[in-house]
Order: sequence, then structure tokens, then C-alpha cells
Amino acid sequence: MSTMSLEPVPGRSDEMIVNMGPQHPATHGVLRVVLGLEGERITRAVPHIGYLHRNHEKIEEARSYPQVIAYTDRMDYVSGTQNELPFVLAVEDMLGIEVPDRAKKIRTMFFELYRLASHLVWMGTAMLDLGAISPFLYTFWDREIILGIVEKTAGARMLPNYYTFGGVRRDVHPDFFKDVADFLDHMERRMVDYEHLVLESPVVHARTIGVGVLSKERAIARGVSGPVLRASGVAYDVRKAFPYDAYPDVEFEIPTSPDGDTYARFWVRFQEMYQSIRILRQLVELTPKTGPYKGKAPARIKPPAGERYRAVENSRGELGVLVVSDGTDKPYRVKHRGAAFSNLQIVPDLFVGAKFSDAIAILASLDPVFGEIDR
Amino acid sequence: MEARMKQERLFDEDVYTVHPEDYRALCERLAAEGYDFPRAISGLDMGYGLRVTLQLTRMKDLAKVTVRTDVPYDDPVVPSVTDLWPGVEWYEREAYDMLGIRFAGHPDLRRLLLEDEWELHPLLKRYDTGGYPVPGWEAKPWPDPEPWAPPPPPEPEDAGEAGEGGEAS
Repeated sequence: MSTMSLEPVPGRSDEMIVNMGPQHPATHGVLRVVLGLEGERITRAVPHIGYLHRNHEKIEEARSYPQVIAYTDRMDYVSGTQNELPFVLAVEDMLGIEVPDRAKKIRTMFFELYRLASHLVWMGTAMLDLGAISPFLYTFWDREIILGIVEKTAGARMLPNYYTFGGVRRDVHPDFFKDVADFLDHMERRMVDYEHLVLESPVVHARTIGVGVLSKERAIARGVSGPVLRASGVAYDVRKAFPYDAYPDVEFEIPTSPDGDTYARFWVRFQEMYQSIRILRQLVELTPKTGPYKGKAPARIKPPAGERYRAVENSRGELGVLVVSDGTDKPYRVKHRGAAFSNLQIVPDLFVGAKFSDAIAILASLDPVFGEIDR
Repeated sequence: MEARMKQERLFDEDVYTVHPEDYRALCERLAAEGYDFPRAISGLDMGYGLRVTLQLTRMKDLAKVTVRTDVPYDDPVVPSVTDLWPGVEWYEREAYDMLGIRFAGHPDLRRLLLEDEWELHPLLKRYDTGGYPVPGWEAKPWPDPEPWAPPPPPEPEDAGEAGEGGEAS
């Protein structure tokens, strides 16, 4: 965070300095970008973050391992349990905890339900940025169904604190599998509507095709991951590259697009939603209806001294965590590798040269969530 | 350089621990070897000094590597690698913000998350979660052997075998 503005360039009296955010509704929370404008064209862009900073990493050093799981939830608050998984996996690795097969499948089901929920929020807010109000109302209705399913089992909607070392905290609700199957039937019908509303909309075409093109090499060097990287033609997905939980047991594809523009990022997220539905369909069939939901874990979690990095494919990309243990019941250091944090670094690259109205569309296609970026 | 570097295998990653003077040279070597995807830079307070942990992935074959280097509290300077991997720019700024590690050659080393006028580096272990000094905190002595010391050569178990290999000495 900085109070800094941009210094005028000597001899460039036609450049106007505009401060966008942190209260701008199209900045998805609290991003502030100081822009240099020459007419409609952006000449300079300096992003400032930190307006939602809570110093998670310091708080987590002062909490015991099970308490930290509840904190990780509060990072990427639209994708709930996805944040808990890297930390849980890292500690399980350090302690050598075995996770029962059924628990892995339940975890993966929640993981993919939250991916759908997160992409629905993205779709609604991205369309809101482009000036369409109604998709937002439809997508939040559908997201409500997902959160209802999660609430029945985990007891909370957005911050469920559901995963634990060795599995999940409690068994799923008896209606869980039926609810998910019913939701998937509903969601498949809705996806047809969403394609009409978003991907086939001439307004979306005009605003996004050819806008904010990100090259493959630049995307990799900038550490960009997730749908943004795959829209630039790199088939990197942690679920396939370093499989975890039940992903080796299910079939799915990694959608990629060679275009790298804003429309490609929209398109890739849509295809990912189809893949999530496909994974969930398989898991509804594959998961045993009864059985253990938690493996044997020690009563006091005290990993041996050492460190472990684990990553998962969150809705936004590679969400990793480096856990350093000194052998006590509190982590010595927890360092989060935020997917949205890394993705947001390309803002200056994509903004400079674009028109001001395109900047809004580009930012919407990056899908930043500030709980995770500012930590 | 090899004399001041320790290489080990930790889970699925190759971990290099190097002297800060060799950090930049090792990074250039890894960049030339095709490690193109920067995952993260983490700063750590080790109790005796500060540690920088750089994590890289090679997209071609998904090989992972970690580079660590330790610097003393009174002069925490590490060369910046933003020119090799532009994606570490904010991670280096964050490590400076949280721990005060200075990255020499960084194009724009300002605080990232906290205000410019902030005085503390909050992730240092000498401060508690409220930002107050921890009573009785003292820096530990620099470890011996040094973190980047290569492991001692394996003891020859059998005189005959050592004579054939000749590498143990």
C-alpha cells in the first residue's frame, strides 16, 4: 500500500493522472490502480494493494495447527474449503497421516463444488463490470444452492472449516449425494442459459475479443497460473501435474485456448465449469455412501522439524503453502503462495496500451479476490 | 561455488542451500537450465538470521527446485532475481515489507502491503502479534556448521571399496 501518486513526465502536459479505487466498484474489493491516461489510452499503471491486509501469516505463527485451518478459510473467501487443502496436505505429509479413500473423495467433491461457486461469482461480477445486471442475479441464485449443500454438511456457508488432518471434520449429511446430483441436473440446464447470456453475447464479444492479450512466455515468467495461464495456451494444472486427493481416480480435461485475450479467459472458465460438473458426476457414483470419513491422526498435531510445500489448483490457479515446523504444536512459519496475488502482477503489462474501459474488462477476466491477495 | 553449496532431496524437490554471494550465480544457472515458472519467494526469520526461499518449477517436465540462502540480521542483502523471473517482483517486495530483507537490484523496492511510513517489519520473531517487542528475545549464534556447508564425505566402510572408488577422499 502506498499513498504515492504518479509524478508527471516532464514535457507531457497531455497526460492525466487518474486514481482508480480502492472504493471503485469494478475493482472487486480494494484494488487501487494509479493510471496515466492520454485521452482514452492508458500510458502508465501502478497497482497498490494492502487495503485488506490482516497479517494472516503472523497470526498463524501464534496459533496451533488445527486453529490455522480456520484462518486459511479467510483468504480466498469465495472458494471456501479450497484454501484449507494445501495446509492440510502439507501437515499430513510431514506427519505421514493416511487419508481414507472415501475422505479423499468427499474432499474433492467439496473442492469442485466451491470451484463452481467461485466461477459463478466471477461470472456474475464480471458481467456486472461489463454493464449487465441480470447474469449476476442468476449466478448468485445458483451459488446459493451450492452454499446450501455445503451448509447442510459443514454447518457454515462461506468459511466452512471442514477439512482436517486425515480427512474431513464430520460425515456428510444423508441428503448430500442426492442434493449434489439434483444440483448438477439443474446446473447443466443453466449452463445453456449462461452460454447464451455470456459467451454468445455480442456485447461481450465487442468488449473482450482481442483485448488484453497475454503471451505464453510472459504469462509463465510472471508466475501466472490457473485459468489465466491456460487461456494463454499453457496446459498447466496442479490437479494433473501433481495430483492430490481423488483427482487420479476421475477423468477430466484441461481446457486451454491459444488466444490469450480476455475472451479466452472467459471461455476457459466456462469450460472448467463443465469439467467440474463432469468430475462431480463421477464422484457422486464413485464415493461410497457410508464408510470412514477421517483417518487416524494424533490428538496433538506436532510435525517433526522441517518444511513442506504443497499446492492445489484453486479456482484462480496454483494456491500453495510453505509450512515450516520447529517441532512444536505451532507452525514456525506459514507462507502462502496466492494464485490471485501472482496473477494480479500482470496488471501493468496488460493495462498499458489498453483503453480505460478495456481495463475494467481485463481486470474482470483476472478474477482477483482481495482476501487472498492482501492476506 | 560448489564448496559453499549444499544440495539435498526433500520430498519431490531438489533443495539448494547456498552462500548469499553465490545465490545470484546459482539462479542464473537454474534459469539457463529452463526453470521458467517462479512459484514464490518466502522470507523466514531463522532466529540467527533471515532466510530467503525461492521456489521454481520447470514447465517442460514439471521438475521443482528450491533455493535457500541465509543472511545476517545486521546486513540482510540478497541479490534480486526479478530480471530472471519478473513474477517474483511482488514476492521480493513482500519479503522486504514483512522482514526487512533488501533485494539489491530490485527495480521498485517499496513496501507492498503495509503503509510506506510503517516502522516495523512485523514477521520478525522479535515482535509479537501486537507489534510489541518479545521480552527476552535474543538472536541465536550463527549455526555451526554453516547452513550451506556441504555434507561431510561418506566414511569408507570397507578399505577395499574405498580404494576402488577413490572418490570418498
